Amino acid sequence: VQSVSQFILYIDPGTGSLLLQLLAGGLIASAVFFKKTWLSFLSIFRRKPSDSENEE
Amino acid sequence: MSTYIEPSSFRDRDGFVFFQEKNCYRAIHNSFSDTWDKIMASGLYAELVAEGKLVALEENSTGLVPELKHELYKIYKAEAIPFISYPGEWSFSQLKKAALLTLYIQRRAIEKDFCLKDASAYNVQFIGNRAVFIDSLSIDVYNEREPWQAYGQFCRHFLAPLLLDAYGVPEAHCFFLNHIDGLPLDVCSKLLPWKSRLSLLAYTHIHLHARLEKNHAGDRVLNLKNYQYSKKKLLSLITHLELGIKGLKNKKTASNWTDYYTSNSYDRESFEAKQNFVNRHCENIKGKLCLDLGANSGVFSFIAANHFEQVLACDSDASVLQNIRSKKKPNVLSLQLDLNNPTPAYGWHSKERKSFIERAGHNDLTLALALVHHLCISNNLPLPLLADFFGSVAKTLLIEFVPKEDEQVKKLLVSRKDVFDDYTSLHFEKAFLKYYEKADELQLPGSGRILYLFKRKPDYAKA
Repeated sequence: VQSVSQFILYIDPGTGSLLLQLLAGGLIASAVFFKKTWLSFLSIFRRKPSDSENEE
Repeated sequence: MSTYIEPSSFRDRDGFVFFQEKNCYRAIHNSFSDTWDKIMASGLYAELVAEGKLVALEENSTGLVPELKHELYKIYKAEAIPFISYPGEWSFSQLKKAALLTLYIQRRAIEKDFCLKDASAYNVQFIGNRAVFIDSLSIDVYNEREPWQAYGQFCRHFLAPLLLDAYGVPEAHCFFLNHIDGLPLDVCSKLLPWKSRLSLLAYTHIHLHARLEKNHAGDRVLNLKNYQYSKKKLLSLITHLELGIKGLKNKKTASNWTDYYTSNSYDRESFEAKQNFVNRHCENIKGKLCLDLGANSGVFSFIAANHFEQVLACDSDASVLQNIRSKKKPNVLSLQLDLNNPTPAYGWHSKERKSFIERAGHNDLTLALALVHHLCISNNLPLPLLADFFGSVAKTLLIEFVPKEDEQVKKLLVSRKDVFDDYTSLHFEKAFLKYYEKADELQLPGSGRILYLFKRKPDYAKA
């Protein structure tokens, strides 16, 4: 399997930035799962805000 | 025919941007040909262009750079961007829009097995109030199991300044001048209040991220054998950033300027005469770009917007700019700019990013209404220097002289000694006639204010 360090990178991604994604990837994926579930639960009761309302 | 290679193109080994006859071109090196063909074949490029999210390119193989032609795979003429603005001139909501556009393109790219190889805020530009991604060569092939290499850059360019604004840390946009590659995360982590650690968005992407950067800064070998990073996790990261950034709100601040035109000394007749004068000349001049310096409520930007392809409404006050944006005029771009200290040239060799004056010099009309007294009285600026500044920026100038007898100037002089003996309409005209010919003039009724339309003398034309 090709490792990250073998890729030729355009910008220096930073070791910390790569590690953060690898270490916290599971946590972030779970957080997103719960947040999405929560948002779809809320959407039953709320009208969907339009894009223009989200702008400012 | 002169060719000018964009100085900020130097980082990309896959291509560059150049200009000829005011047209912008994108050249692609042979080394990127396979990837480029894959991107084009996937339909990603065409879909994003059709959605107005990515700058449109038109193939142009007329051999515009003969000396470089053997190295080039393709040359495209790029859709014109009326004015190149920088993130330090954007508001919170504009930076947020640019961040969400970057994440949207990254998501769409990943879905088709591509990936953004960089996530710089400079890759986004505004055509009026529409954000458009201009760096077509940022899209590269996605390697399975690979984390996002531009993730750190995304956090520095977008998330860090947005979080500072959201937590009420003032002047977050100023960091773009000091840090060409975005706000360092350790600096952001120190500036954010302690309570930001309770937010998963700020904690993971800034505080923990900054700590990992610090602890692993000297690492030479990255052993990733034990880690799995799937496409699903990468998409979750994008969603997490998207949901988090969508939820951020700027802490609003009150301003002295938001009710300027409702509380100031204009009477109705005078204000209508001013609007008519501006409208008449905008209609006559027309053109691509109008620069409104000291836009305030934006009333004159909106008049100009009826006659120019794009209007730049510039002001130093973030609150008035927010009011302008709330009117959602599609061809008005609001930018935060302090004329006493306009954006300088910065970056590598002080050439990578151009000064505001250099970028704005091609405008067809400059408006400077109810502005000069702030520059001359508040900033002690002598009239010859004021005229010299406009002489370098404006080929056609519609400017208002506000005399000392005016209520607004009296207010400025309340707390200071009047050392402005030469601040008169006579000296004003004399200073400007060095650079300009007077094309029209209007004394506003019931007021000592005078509107001038100046046309720059050919000997002072910008090279």
